[in-house]
Amino acid sequence: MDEISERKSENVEDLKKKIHRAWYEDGIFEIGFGILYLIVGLVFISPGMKFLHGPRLSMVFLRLVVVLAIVGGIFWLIRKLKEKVVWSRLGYSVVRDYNPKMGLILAGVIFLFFGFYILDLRFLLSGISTFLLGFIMFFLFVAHYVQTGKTIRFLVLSPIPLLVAGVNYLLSLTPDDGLFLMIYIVGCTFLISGVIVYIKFKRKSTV
Amino acid sequence: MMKDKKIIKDIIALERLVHEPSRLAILTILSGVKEADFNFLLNYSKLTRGNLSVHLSKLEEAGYVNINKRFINKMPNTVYNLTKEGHKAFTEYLTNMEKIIKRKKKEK
Repeated sequence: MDEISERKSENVEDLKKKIHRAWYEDGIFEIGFGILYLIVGLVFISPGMKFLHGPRLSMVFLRLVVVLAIVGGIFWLIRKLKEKVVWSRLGYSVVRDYNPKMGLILAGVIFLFFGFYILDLRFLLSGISTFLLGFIMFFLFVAHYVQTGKTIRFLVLSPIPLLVAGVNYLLSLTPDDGLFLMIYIVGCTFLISGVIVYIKFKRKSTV
Repeated sequence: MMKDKKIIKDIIALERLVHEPSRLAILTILSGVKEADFNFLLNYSKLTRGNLSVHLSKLEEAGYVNINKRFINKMPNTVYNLTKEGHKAFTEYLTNMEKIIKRKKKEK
């Protein structure tokens, strides 16, 4: 009985992890996140979008609308892609948080980042050292690894922000340029990884 | 002797409805999602359509699973999710199972 129970309990854990990974094995979540980072880099940090900055209330409101439009747009894109590509192949599901505490921390970091932008406290972000930013981004990848039921590719990609931080330091970039480079490279990493996983997923699963 | 009695007590406490492997697989899948449709359960439980349907009906009768029927692009779609009772029964089952394993490991 004890051997059977032990095997059963292991199988339950394995199946639980498999179900959590199922949400991420099509790469759509990463594609969405990658696009989010690229848009954030473009709208928040690129010098061409400086007209959106400023402490005026109308600008705060405009930035709030921009943030809501970006986040809403990305969620809409993820849902549409899931509906069209995944649900017709594997069936419909909505994932539950694997680790609710980690989910809350992740949501908090993203909320803080958007909050800094909406209230035009961007200078606080520019002021933080490149290595601290690298560690925050590194943590984001590790958090994704935990949140997705230990999807190993997030752990493999996690040193990239630290490498970017090192490059930033060696090139002595300004804080704004460093932030821009970091967000763009992290965005591209998510996007490329997502597209590769997405292509693999489409090849191996049929409608 | 006392330890054996405790283990037997724990084994008896295991919920039979949950202990059946197919239903345990269904409950495990549903515990990882907010909701899922029939095809998703079919894909990940590796059961046949008939088997899955029978086990889902049993779980629904016990009040462990909630069933919602809806239409997506004019196509019928049935969505399943764990009820509070279902979640409680599944968690209690796992806790009892862990107790048995721990006790047995201590004995070794």
